[in-house]
Amino acid sequence: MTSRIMVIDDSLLVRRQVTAALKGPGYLVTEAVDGIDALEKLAGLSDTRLIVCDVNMPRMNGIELLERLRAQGSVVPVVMLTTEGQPELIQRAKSLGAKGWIVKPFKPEFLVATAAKLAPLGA
Amino acid sequence: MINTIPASNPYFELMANHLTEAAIDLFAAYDLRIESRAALPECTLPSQELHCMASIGYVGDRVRGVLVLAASQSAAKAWTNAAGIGECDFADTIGEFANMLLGHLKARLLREGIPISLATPITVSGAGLRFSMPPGQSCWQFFEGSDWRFATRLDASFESGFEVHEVDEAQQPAAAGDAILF
Repeated sequence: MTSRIMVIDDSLLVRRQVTAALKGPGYLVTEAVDGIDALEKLAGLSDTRLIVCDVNMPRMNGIELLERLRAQGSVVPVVMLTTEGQPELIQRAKSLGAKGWIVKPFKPEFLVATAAKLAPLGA
Repeated sequence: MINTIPASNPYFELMANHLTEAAIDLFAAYDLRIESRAALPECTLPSQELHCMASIGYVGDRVRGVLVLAASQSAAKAWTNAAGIGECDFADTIGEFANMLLGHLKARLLREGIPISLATPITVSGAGLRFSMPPGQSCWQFFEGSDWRFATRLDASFESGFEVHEVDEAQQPAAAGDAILF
């Protein structure tokens, strides 16, 4: 079974950093540039096991995406990856079903450990 | 080497000092060694060299302004190399760095009782970039490494009645690098 992770960020640099960190251990990584792009791609991907998502993005931000995924009944775990660290925002994401929050710049080993916990390879 | 922020509004000094520390922390997170730094009232970029400028607006309670960040292509390359990425889009790289820098500043200011909200960065690149005069308080900070150069300008306009909010210890923001699983 493939272990696909989707990374959603409007920054090419961040998408590349996340992809590099997660491909190493063996994950398949799909990139999206914002919430709308992510929803379009997720509709065609049934093997996505984890979403790593920025908060501040054009067109649809990470919180709005969480709301949409919740409304759709999605069970794919979502971890936010963002420069934001406000407790209210973290709590909002948690209440919408997010499984974690990582503040940039991220440590690759923390991201990999998070992926291993929420979407273990080979499981 | 000039290390001090020019004398001004004490709240602006507080913000500017936090911006300097946030920049130093961010460079350190990528193992980028700062060899010199200075605070100056103006910035003149070399006219023949390609630079990228990112600007992000912010607004708080009776304070608003802009963070401007200007970097050489070698600075962007040093950062992407340090991030283990190699070549990447110049404007995207500097925009993301500005985003992280202002995010760090936001967290620091929140701990000081100065909450702010941020816009998304706008970037422009070219040679001979010049900057307009800021409307309120302003200060340039320059950072140099072995082969890269980076500058930040913090602008701030304070309205009468500006004051620092009381800080609730239970509402401290998450710090850079934190990874929280719910």
